[in-house]
Amino acid sequence: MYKMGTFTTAALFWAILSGVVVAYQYEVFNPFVSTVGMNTLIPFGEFFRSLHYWSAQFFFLGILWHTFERLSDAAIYHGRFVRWGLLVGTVPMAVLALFTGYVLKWDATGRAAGHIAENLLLSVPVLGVQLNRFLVAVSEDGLMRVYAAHIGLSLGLWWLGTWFHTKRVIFTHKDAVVVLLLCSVLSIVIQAPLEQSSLEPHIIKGPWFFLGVQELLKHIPPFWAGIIFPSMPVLCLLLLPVAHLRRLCLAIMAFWCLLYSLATLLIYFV
Amino acid sequence: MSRRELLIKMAKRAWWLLFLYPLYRFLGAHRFRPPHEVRIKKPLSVGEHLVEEDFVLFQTENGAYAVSRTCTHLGCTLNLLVDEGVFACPCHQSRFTLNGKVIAGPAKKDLPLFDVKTMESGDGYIIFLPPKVL
Repeated sequence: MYKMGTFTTAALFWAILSGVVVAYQYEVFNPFVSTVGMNTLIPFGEFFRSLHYWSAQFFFLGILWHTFERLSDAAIYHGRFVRWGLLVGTVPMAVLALFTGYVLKWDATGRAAGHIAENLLLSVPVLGVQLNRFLVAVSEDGLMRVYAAHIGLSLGLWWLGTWFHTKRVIFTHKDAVVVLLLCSVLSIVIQAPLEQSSLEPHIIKGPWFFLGVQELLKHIPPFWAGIIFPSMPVLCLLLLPVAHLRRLCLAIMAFWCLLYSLATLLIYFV
Repeated sequence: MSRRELLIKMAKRAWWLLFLYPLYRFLGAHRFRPPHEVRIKKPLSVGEHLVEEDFVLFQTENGAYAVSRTCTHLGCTLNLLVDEGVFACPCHQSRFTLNGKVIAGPAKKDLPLFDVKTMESGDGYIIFLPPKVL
């Protein structure tokens, strides 16, 4: 029953560990050159970067799946909103951890993603400046804050997923080996994305999980397309323990998933 | 539970909140970074342009001007499409004239122009830009 949860924890374990390995060769004030150097000059650099990428992708997909399979558990958290809220919080935290990782490579798409995230956060009324300063602020401080947030989010996810959620680390030796082998094979076959030159592409497409937002940003003001719309399913998840709102929340989440998939397909194929 | 017990229980659970304010002040502080200038040691003829990372420098009969390459919608770096005579955003497809005026959205604001000074020797330009780290 909890298999996906243990796989997700194992993937996070490898994502953090491979992140530490990658950090030895990453220069935050020379991000693009050091990432290209890692791919081309450092022995096994491309492999470890890809391992970090794939284990993080597995973790993200795992946490989405785990959230989906445990939706019916929401009822038992009725009256324990802080606990449920922290568990739901791992989903947007995972999105942010993945997104900050995407920005850190600082190629043309990473750079664009960083500036878009900064402007989206700045569009938030009242708290926008603070949120931007804690998470992104690429215009003011380059990648310093993005890097700190990336590490902080990863540690936060580990803390929430193990110590807080299950009171212990639940994954077996076998889980860890399976995930590591799977990610290693993928890393050898499909390398983590990086544009090899700093030439500017005519069309920039963001990370796969952000494509729907990117399409909506063309048509709707940034605050609504980039903040409110992506927050809707998280808000619905938070309200799931409330019995009389449960059906409505599930319906909104299903509709949101459909809409987001359509927007993603639109930008992907058009 | 007595009031005393409640207060002790709250204090035991919430002592870490004392760290929030120092943490907020520390993380929120930002360093002053001065504006910077870019020196182009190459004179341009009338009608010529030079594409740099943050701006495009144009030389016209009336003098030189520099247009920002940062899209006013969400900050992506604009491409100069010379054949069409426009700036185009690769992220959300906004378009601007060579003077920085919005032609097509989602951007709503025009591009800023940067101050340009011709070098005293006449063989180049100094462009004054906002602060930048990377």
